[in-house]
Amino acid sequence: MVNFLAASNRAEEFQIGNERYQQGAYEEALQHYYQILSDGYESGALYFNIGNTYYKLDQLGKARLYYERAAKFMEGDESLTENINILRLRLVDQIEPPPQFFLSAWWQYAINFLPLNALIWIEVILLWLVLILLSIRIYYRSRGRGTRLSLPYHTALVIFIAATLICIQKIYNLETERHGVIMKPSVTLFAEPKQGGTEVFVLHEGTKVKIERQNQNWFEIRLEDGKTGWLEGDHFEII
Amino acid sequence: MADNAGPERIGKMRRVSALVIWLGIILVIPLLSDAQDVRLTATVNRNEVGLNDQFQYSVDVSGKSTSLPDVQFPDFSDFYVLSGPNTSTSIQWVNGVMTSSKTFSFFLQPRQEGRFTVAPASITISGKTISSNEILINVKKETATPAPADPQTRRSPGDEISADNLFLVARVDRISAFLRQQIIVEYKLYFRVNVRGYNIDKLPANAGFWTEDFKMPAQPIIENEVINGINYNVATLKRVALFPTQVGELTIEPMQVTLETLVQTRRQRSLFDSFFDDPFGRTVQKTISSKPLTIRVKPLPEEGRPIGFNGAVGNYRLSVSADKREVLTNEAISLKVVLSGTGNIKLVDLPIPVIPSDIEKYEPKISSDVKTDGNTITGVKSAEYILIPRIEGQYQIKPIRFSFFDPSAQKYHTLSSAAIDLNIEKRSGTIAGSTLQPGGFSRQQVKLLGQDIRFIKEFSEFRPTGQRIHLSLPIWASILSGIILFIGFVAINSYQVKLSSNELLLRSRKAGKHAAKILSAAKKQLNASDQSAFYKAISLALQVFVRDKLGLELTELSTENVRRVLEKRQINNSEIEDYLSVLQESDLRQFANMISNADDRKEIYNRARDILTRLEKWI
Repeated sequence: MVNFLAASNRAEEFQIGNERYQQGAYEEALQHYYQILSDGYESGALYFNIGNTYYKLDQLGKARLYYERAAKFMEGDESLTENINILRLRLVDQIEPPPQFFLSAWWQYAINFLPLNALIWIEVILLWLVLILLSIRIYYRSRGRGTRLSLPYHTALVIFIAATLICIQKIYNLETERHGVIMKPSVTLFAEPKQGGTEVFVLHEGTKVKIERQNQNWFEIRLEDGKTGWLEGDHFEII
Repeated sequence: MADNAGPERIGKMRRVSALVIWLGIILVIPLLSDAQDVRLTATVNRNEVGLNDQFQYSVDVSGKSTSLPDVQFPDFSDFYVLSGPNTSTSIQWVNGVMTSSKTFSFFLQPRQEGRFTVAPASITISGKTISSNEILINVKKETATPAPADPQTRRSPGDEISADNLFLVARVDRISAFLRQQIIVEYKLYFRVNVRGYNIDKLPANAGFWTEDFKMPAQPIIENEVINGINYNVATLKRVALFPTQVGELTIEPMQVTLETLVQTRRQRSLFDSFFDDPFGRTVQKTISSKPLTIRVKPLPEEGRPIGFNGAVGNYRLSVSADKREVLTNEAISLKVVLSGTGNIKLVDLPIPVIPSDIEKYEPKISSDVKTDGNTITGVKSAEYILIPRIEGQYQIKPIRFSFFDPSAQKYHTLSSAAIDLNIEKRSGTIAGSTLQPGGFSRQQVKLLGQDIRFIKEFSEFRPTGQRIHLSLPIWASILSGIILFIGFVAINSYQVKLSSNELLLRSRKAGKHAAKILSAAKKQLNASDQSAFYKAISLALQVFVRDKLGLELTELSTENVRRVLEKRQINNSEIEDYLSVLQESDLRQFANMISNADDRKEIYNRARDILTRLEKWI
């Protein structure tokens, strides 16, 4: 009962936040959205809406951070992809990723096609489907009544194996890869994890970086185009 | 000669008649002119006098009429009239208009100390009474200032160019204004000396103002103005309109001019001095400047400020017009947005019309015209748009709104033009000169009018923060249950297959039962007359048992074969012998036609049952 009440409160907070957003009272909308987060709950739509609110407030760094957080829940969502693209057009750093080999591009596309929470349920359904089809085949063959359902079984098997590989890759990425978003208007990156080292390049608010490793409060990051550099932990926020 | 005389006389007569007509016009026109053109001015040469001083009081009547009526002079009861009225008359022609003036002057001396008012003089023309101004005279015991006396003889150059006789005044039409409200500043030179020329040395640089100069005539127009009864010549040297761009106390800086004045030479000087002088006087340069003025600039009120307000202050009119409202596709329409009015029109942005997206709009031609010769700065700013409709239909150019602040009413106004409806007809493809494919412009993609982020999500399912889906219980429970169910199925299936596919095994299991069934059938034959049926059943029971139990065929059931197979199964020899002897005896009795009684049959039956029971345990 208590849990049910709490759930309706969250929905209500979300509703009020959305109304404030619609009225243009973005600061107030944020308060309501953050209330849900501080209650210990999250969702892709919530992060998406917070991202939108920060975008409207012209805080592009935070908007990017929350869009990227939303992406973990709703990867492949059309509105989210479009909003991130529009936001990226407004960022100072326009990083062109190097052209990819077509297979790896396909693989990347496949990985990003569905969010993990949807994919993992598809994976479960596919497993059941493969096992049921396999059972039917075993039943008939063991009674010497020939091989049946060959095409559906092999199709389902191939899809299942592909989904399994994607799932494993996604879980691996999720567990090992960490990304961050630059939160300061302008950040200088160094070749070594120390202040006053050789300056390598400068990044600006809203740029997404991949975190490679950590040395105390210094992080080595990698850009989409392959450049690497060290920056201090308070210049960015981990997604 | 006679022939020539005629035309000559006629010519002379013509000239005479023309002269008469001209004279008539000259004489009659002034008489026809209106009485209101008559002006009456009273002046004194000084208004602070000592008790023993005399001063001049003059009444000047000027008008377009030559026959000026008599003047009713005021009552001079507070003064002694020393002389007067002394009359002088002058007639002037300016731009074809005749002006005549008559001056009546009196020399007066006060009777006692105090402040006295000289009442206005008056004149009556065609029933109307015109009055001059009143003059205040302050009479003191002693002479306050050196007696002015006759300017022709007694003034020195220094006196003449005193501040009283020559000064520059900056005059504003308001001392408190709103931001960007027009303030008009006039720089006026007041003089009672002979000024030959002037030069503006320092133009006021007014910080915090946008300045617009008025156009001035090349030669300043000189007017008369009476200040405290003293008549001054006044020339307006410069007029500017100032538009304050800051809020607060702003200063209008002084203007400085250098004047060339002509000073009369003293007659008492020696012959040589005057010899080198200008016979009419001496030129003296004098620099004077106006006083700085302070203007208090107020911000525009917040209250009632319209949304589209972009800083226009003044009074404006907006007109929007299209030259055509019904056109064919691809035909140009000219849309004009004209803003006119008073104020800093140069700095006002014209409102931009919203054109439907199927009508192509080209960059407007913007022109502005500021008029600087009126009393205030006015102007017209216009933008002309060329519109080319590409697709037929009914379109509307929405009303254009323009907001401004009217400082005189202290209110914001919003102008709104009328909506313009356009009716675009399709140009038929057969019209000569039209190179367009029919419908060539009607196909188009949905145009992106603007780009913004997509709207927020309305609904959401929430999960506790930090939960990792791939470690969640339902996922693993469903994966594991699937696998367990599958393994279970495979196990049960293979067991079933083993049972059903191996019939021999089934037969061997059921061998005992089968044999027992046949034996019980044989038991029914114990007392039957046909003994062969009984023995046949016993034999069958024995054979079927071994066949089923050992997976053999009936044809393989020779004695040797059975013995070998049974030995292979490591069954006691005695049992094998027993089995075979029972089978042999049963076969023998079946076919040998030996007589057997019921006891014999019972014995055989019991032996067969025993051996089968024992073999059942062994195999």
